[in-house]
Formats: sequence, structure tokens, C-alpha cells
Amino acid sequence: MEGIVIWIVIVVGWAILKGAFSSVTGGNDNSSSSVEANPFTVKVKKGLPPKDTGLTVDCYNVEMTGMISHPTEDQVKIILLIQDVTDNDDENDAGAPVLSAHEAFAEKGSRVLGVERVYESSSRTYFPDWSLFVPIPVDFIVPPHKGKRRIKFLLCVGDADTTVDRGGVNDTSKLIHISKEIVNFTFKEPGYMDELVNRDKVEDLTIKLGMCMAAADGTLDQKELNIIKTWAKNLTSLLEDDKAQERNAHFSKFLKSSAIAAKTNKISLSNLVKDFNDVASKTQKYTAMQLLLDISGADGTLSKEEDVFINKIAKTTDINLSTFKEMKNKVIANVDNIDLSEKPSEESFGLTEDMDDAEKMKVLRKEYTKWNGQTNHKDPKKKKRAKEMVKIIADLRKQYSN
Amino acid sequence: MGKIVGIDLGTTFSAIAELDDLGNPEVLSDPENNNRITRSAVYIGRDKAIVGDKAVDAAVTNKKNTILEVKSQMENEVVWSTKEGGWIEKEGKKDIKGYVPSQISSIILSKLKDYTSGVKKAVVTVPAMFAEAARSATLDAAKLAKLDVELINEPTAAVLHYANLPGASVNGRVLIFDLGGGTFDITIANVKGKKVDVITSVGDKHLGGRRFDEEIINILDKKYKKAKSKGLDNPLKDEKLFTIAERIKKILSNKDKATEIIEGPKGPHKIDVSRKEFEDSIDTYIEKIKMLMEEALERADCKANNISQTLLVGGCTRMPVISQVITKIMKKAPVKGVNVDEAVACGAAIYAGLQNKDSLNTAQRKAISNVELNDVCNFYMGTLALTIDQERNMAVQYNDTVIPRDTKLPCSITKTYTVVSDGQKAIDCSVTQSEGEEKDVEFVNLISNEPLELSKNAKAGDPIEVTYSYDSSGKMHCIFEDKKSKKKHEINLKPIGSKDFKELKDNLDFEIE
Repeated sequence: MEGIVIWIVIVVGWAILKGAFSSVTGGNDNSSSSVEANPFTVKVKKGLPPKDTGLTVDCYNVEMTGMISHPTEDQVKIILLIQDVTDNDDENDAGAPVLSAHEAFAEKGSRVLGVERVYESSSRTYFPDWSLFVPIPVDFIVPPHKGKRRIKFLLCVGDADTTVDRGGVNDTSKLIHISKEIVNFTFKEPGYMDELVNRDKVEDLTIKLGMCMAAADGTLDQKELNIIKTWAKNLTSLLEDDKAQERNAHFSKFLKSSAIAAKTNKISLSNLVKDFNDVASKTQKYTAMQLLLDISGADGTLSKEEDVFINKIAKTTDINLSTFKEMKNKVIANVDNIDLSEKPSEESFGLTEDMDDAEKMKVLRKEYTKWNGQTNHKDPKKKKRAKEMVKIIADLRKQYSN
Repeated sequence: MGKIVGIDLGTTFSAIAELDDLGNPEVLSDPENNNRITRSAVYIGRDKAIVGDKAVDAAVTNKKNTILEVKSQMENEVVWSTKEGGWIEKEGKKDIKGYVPSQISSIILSKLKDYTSGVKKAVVTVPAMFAEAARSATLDAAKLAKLDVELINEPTAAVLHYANLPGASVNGRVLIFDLGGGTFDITIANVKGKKVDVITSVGDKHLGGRRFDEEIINILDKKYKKAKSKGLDNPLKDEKLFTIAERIKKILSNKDKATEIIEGPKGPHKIDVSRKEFEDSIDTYIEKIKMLMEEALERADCKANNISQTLLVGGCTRMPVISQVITKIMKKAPVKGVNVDEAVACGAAIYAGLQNKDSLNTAQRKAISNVELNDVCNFYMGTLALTIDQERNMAVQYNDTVIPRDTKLPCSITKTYTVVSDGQKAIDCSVTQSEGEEKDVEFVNLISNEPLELSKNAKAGDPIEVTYSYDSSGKMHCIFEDKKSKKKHEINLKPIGSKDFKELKDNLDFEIE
């Protein structure tokens, strides 16, 4: 994950240099005719960016060509704004801001997507060829809503002191050249506005999932309930007083009713997961999984039933299973007991039915290496758990080994 | 000038060796019984400590005062309580009376040191995967035994010995398979003449002959129970049974069946143990061995057919099942060329000579003149930093590797990080160690964490340069530099032993036998 951070720095740096060195200065001072001959134009191409960027993920490669001249100043600022115009009557109007999943592509101090650079310029400066301004990884674009969206890439050239705020230019009179391109984009996760609208619903569904998790081993332990209560309480701590009061009142009833429903098996897990997946964003899914993991370790034992339950939910929520496994390993390392040894679930170690024996052995060896390394841990609890895990893994692997 | 020796401080047996007048390593025998290897067992009496077989005998009658397998506790903060007859966690408990692992080990080292006279310096061997705490405790032990000491990894010492055998035909890329009484290590190295370049080491600190003995005891217990309807009393605490189990294990290395009379609560009973029964009982350990062999090959980026020879070290390599496993994985039989119990001590003696050439005579110097050893860093050395977890959309602290495992020593690596926020007052200069490449902070050992104050006008994005320099003797020097203010924080990391060394000396006034 920090790899991403590192390359972002490299790519942005590269983009600045690339832009600066590929622009040229035209031969005459007649800027208006130059502008007409070489209008500033943006083009957005989806795909892998050039190899020298070092990027290996799909991006919207924002390219530009033509005049970036300024009649009086020796510097210009080029600003990329991305807006969602799906719900606009006129796509020339400003759309809803699009957020960036990473701060490197966000406006300073906000989550709104926006990239800006300052270039040396004169009244004759232009890009004769298409030049890459910046590649924006597709996965970093967060529109307001889920589904098919129309996204406007707006590339503006303006005074060096032009400022932007929440996806718009503060003083449009400072802009000299503007070009746009609209692309169709499908966002599979709930957008940021969906997240806001659905927040209460997602919280309730997460609590229900938590209750089912707590009841997975046949009992609803008080410690497990306390984890859910504390989680719900923390949700309201950042809300305004009125809203906090309303949610607290709701939670006190909802916690009771969902606990009873979970205890008496009155919750349809498949429906619950479906509802949850429909409305929860990726971040909310991870938050829910963390709650489930906290519950699984609350009574000091990670039982086989809990392990099976949590693996099932992780699979159906479509989160990254490697990230989930890392999260689960923390619980495994910290609980007092694990109840996986008698007949450990192969799923717990990332084995799947479609793997052949050689693949399973390789996966288990990686797991062994991970836990064997932990037998050196300073924390006696983690060390003890690591010793147990290497034994469980070796026991499981020997059946494929001969 | 005092003598320089090499010491294999093993889990179940230890040995001491020195270079003879011609520069060949020679194992020194216990003058009392002429044994070339000594049981790593210590009996603590009122004013006397006994080391070796006699201590094991004492364990039968006085368990509480007899300490075995102290090496497996070197990494732990524990105390042997003669009142309880076991290791007690020190954490949160004050004034526990007893002996810490380094004190017990020092008694063994003192005993070995006395096999000859005038020993001042020693090279002591440790398992390749011994972490910082265990190495530190080993250094404490040597210091308590009044030895000026350096450490070397056990399989590295062994390969040095193999490479230096007169007329040795060890050459190319070799795998050193070291299965001792308590630990298991694999090292892959390139050997050319007497030059040894270590490529990688892997290991399991809890796998060895003693665990196999436990499985034999479990078989004996089951069979006794089946015959007499009552099991043996606390069998895994009975040192007499361990002696029998060890004997059975040795017999099964040559025969298909071993027979012993077992004394139990319902009288004596004759029990047969077959080789198959024994091998079936240790199949989980065998699986671990296979996994470590695969891991070593993967780390060295080679396949079995790229390995010219598999060299055996450690008493447990005499077990036929071990040879079979090696032959199956490496597609050729291992080399049986040296006394597997003595190879590590002999290699340590060669390394001791190498590190102290000035104290050698002409013949000794000549004998080791072409010896060269290049080792690697056995752990990932890292630091803690902040990043954004894209998946979970949150800022997280993570462990970033600065020196990757298996980097050739000496090395120096610099990485640049940045200040997180405007006006930040300080950064944590944290140094971490881990066997695996861990990102998760919870799964690394924090071996140093000290603050570096930043300049008053620190801004987000200001560069912080982190440089780790690791030399061949295991010393690491870390520099954290605020490039803006040029302020630096330097950390010297070397297993230097306990800070409370004086305390360790206090209750160690024994005559050692």
C-alpha cells in the first residue's frame, strides 16, 4: 500500500517535468492567431499509462495539446477539475464534485479531486504534441453515486494565482484557456452521497451482522454485546447533539431487538448480507469486518463457528481477502485461545476448492513462514499463538505432502 | 595473550574447540570423563553448580534444581525458580528469586572454558534465527563466564568447517542442514575453496531432538496405559524417560525396532517401539522441515538441482527419515563427511582464529589464510511510518523495511520519509526487526524507539533521511536526519547484553563441577 504512495510522488514529479520540457515557445507574438491555430485541448484516454511512469494500473490519462500562453505573465497554472455531470441538464454547467481516494490527487486540505501545476509560459507557449498532464488511477475516482456516471474532465489554464475550492475555480476571470472531455464511467460501490444518505441504514445492518456474529457460536456473550454497544456509542460521538440523541435512542431499542432476533435465529443471514452489500461502501464494509473481528475475539476464544462465519461474510462482501486475512491474523495473534486445531477450516488459511495439492502446499508454506517468523515475537502471547499456528499448519499440510 | 576458542552452546549438548598448532580445529574433551560433547544441563546446589551428565542424573531425584534446555529460554524474560522447579515469567512480578537464562548458560560456558587453561576470548554459536533478545542474553552469559565474545550463526560456523576440511571437495552452492537437540537451521551458501558466501538462512527455534524424544515418550505412555490400564506419571517431566527415549531414538537410527523396560505406577513393562511408529509420530515436525527446505530454496532463488551438496550438522541428522526427506527434496543424498556433533564448534574455532589472527602462530595463520566468510542480514530491519490504507480509506502506521533480509553484509541503505504535518514537533526514530517482511506494526519487534525533535517551522513533506548501516559483526548504526534542520539522531545497535549486568553477577557465586 505504501508502494502506491511512493509511485504517486514519482508520477506527479514526472508529469511536471514532462509537461515543462515538452512545451515550446512559438515564433511570433500574435497570440490570438496562435491560439486559434493551436487551441488548448484536453483528451482523456483510458488504459495503462506510458511505461516510464512505472504505473501498472488502469488510469484516465489526461493529455493536452495547444496553447498555454499568457498575454502578460511568465507563469500559468494548469488545473484539472473532475465533475460528475450525470444529473445535469446541461453538461456545460458545473457538475457535482468528484472525490479522490488518495490525497495525492486531491485539492489541498480536502478530499475533492483536483490537480494543479504551475508552468513557465509566455505569450507564445504551446504544446505542439499531445503531452500527458497526469494519469489518474481509475480506482481513485469516487463520484457522488453508484452506477453509470458521466464524468467531465475540465482542464483550465489560468493565472498562476488561480485558486480552486471543492471542485470549482474561485475566480473564473483568471482563466485563459479551457477544454473539456466527458467520459462514461461505471462506479460499482456506493458513491460518497450514497454513503451519506445510507449511513444510518448501513450502521443498523452492521449491528445486525455483529449480533449474528456474536451468536455464531450458539451464545450471545455479554463481552461480545459490549463490543457492539461501544461501537454504536462511538458512532454518535461525532454527531451534533440532536442527531446524537436521536441515534442513541434508536440504538438502545435496536440493539435489544436485533440481539433477540439473532439469539432466536430470526435474522436471514443471506438477506442481511445482500442488503448490506447493496448500500455499504468499501470503507463501511471494512469497518463492519473490523467490528466482526473484534466480536470474534471478545470472549478470548476464536471458535471454529466464529471463524467459519466471519470467513463467509468476508467472501460475500467482496472485500480484498488478503487485507481481510491481515486483519484476522491480528485477532488470531491476540486472543487467548483458538479453536481451529481439531479440524481446521482450510478456508481459514486461504485454501480454495479449485486449488490442486501443490498449490495448497505452497499457500500453507507461506502461512507457515508467516507464523514461524512470529515465534520470535517479544510478546509471549503472540509467541505462544505463533507456535500453535505453525503446528496447525504443518498438521494440515502433511495430508497433501506425500 | 589468552587462548581463543569456539563454543557450540547447544540446547542439549555443547562443545568447545580450538585451533591446534597446525591450524586445524580440535574439539576439547572434558578432562574428567574424556567426553567431547557435554550435556547442556545444570544442577544448582547450595554452593556448587554441576554441569553435564551428572546434572541430568540429579534431575531424576532433584528436578527442581536441574535446568535443561536453557537455550530455548534465552529469548524470554523468565527466571528459573528452584522453589517451583520451572521457568516463571518475570513480567509484572518483582523480586522473584532464581536464575535467568543467561546466568544458567554462563555456568555451562564456564564449565567448557575450564577444559583448557587461559581462555579469554571465544566465538559462541547461536541459531541463525536467534532474535535480538536471545543474542543479547548469550552475550551476557559469556560476559558472566568472563569471556570476551563474538557470536556466529551455527550453520555458518558449520559450513566454514566443511569448507576447511583437508582435501575437502565441498564446492558450489551448498545447503547446510543443521538439526540439533532443540533448534533447526538451514543455510544456503556459495563455497569456492575456503571462501564462504552465505545467501540465506531459515530456521525453527523449537524443532529438534528433544521434541522427537517427547513423541517417543508419548508412544511409551500410550503403550504402558494400554497394557496396564494406567498411564505413566507426568511422563514429559520425567528426565529418566527422556534418557530412555533418547536411547530408543538412537537405536531406531540403526534398527527397525527398539525394546525397553519401562517402570511405571503399575510396575515394569516391556515396550517395543518400531521405527515406523516413531516416524509417524514426528510427521508434523517432518512437514515443518520440508517447508523450511522449500523456503530456503525459494529465498536463495534456486531449485534443488542447483544445490551441489547437502551438508549435515547436528545429532538428529543420523535419523534415517531425515536422510530420506533430504534425498526426496534435493534429489540426491546428503553428504556424511564430518562428526555432525562437532562441526559447529569446529567452525566456531576457525572463525575465532579468523577474527584474532594476531594471536595465531605461523602455521595456524597459514592454515586459515585463504578462509573468507561473507554473511547476510538474517532479519528485516525496518522503521515505523504512516501511510494511507487505500482499501480501508484510513491513515495507518505501518512497518517499512529499510534493510531487507539476506542483504549482504556490510551494507548501508538510506530511505527518505517525510514529516506528516505542519508544526510537527518530533518524530519517533523507531527500529524494528522481523523474520518475515511484515507491514503490520503488531507483527514486528520494536528494538529501539527514541524521539528526534524537529525544527520549529517543520512543514508537512519536509524530508527525513533514514540510514541503516550494518557491519559484518552484527553491529547496526542508524541515523535519522531532519534534512531541513540537519538535526540527527543516531542509534548504535549491537547485542550488548543486559543493562542490569551487575545484578546478574550477584547470585552466581558457585564452584562449578
